[in-house]
Amino acid sequence: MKFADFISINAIRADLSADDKESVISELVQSLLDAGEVSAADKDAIIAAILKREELGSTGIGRGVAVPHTKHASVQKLVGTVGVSTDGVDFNSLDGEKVQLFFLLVSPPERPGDHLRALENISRQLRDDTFCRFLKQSRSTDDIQQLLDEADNNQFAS
Amino acid sequence: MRLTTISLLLDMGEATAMNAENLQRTVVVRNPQGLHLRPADMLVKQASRYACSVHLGRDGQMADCKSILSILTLGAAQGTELQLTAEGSDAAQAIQAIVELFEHGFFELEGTDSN
Repeated sequence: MKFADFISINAIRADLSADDKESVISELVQSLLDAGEVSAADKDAIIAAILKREELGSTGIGRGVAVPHTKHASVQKLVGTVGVSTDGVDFNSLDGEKVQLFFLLVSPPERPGDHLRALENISRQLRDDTFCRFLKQSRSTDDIQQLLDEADNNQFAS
Repeated sequence: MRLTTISLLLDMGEATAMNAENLQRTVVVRNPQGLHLRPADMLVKQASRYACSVHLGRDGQMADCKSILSILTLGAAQGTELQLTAEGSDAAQAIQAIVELFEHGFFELEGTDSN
């Protein structure tokens, strides 16, 4: 699975303003709503479900990266967005570091395979230090989109 | 005299085969959600308790069991067979602990919805 298969280009945020866990999740779900990927009626329920998942253990997986996610019946296919925070957000990460890169995913129930393949793609690309560093330095949606395209064309991880 | 020499040689042959703690087992992903983030986190926490190196292999791909990003790159869904290897002085204990996690389906086999 490639980034282009699940990242909604119009939902990408290069300049997250939120500075805590709850507000950054809210800001990212709002970006999916603005891009037309989720409906206004479902927004609060999706945010609540993602926060509930975080209570089971932070999705901040280290290297300044978090993958907040949930299943939700309102989506027909896996949808996701990317957000970058310049200053980083305290996310109770597994390694205690602040998070600068967010990959937020909402997937239909009964499709665990798609979620796994998205995680596989994200983790494979993020193991490349250059990709990770460039993404954190991105200051515009275009920068991020270009990096994701390059990653999809195998210009980073093997 | 000749008999004694032969038995000595046999003893030496046996002794060299011991001591290499490099163990391998096949494990199967049993939980319906596969090796998603939380099981991967459990694997890292468990493997990190041991000094030995621990790896999971799939189709020639090797993942470091002490790195969550590495484990996630396996994208292992339910039913996937993985080769678990451990090398080091406490390899036997590490293998046993990790096999248990797989056998219990990372405690996701029944009940609560999980992401």
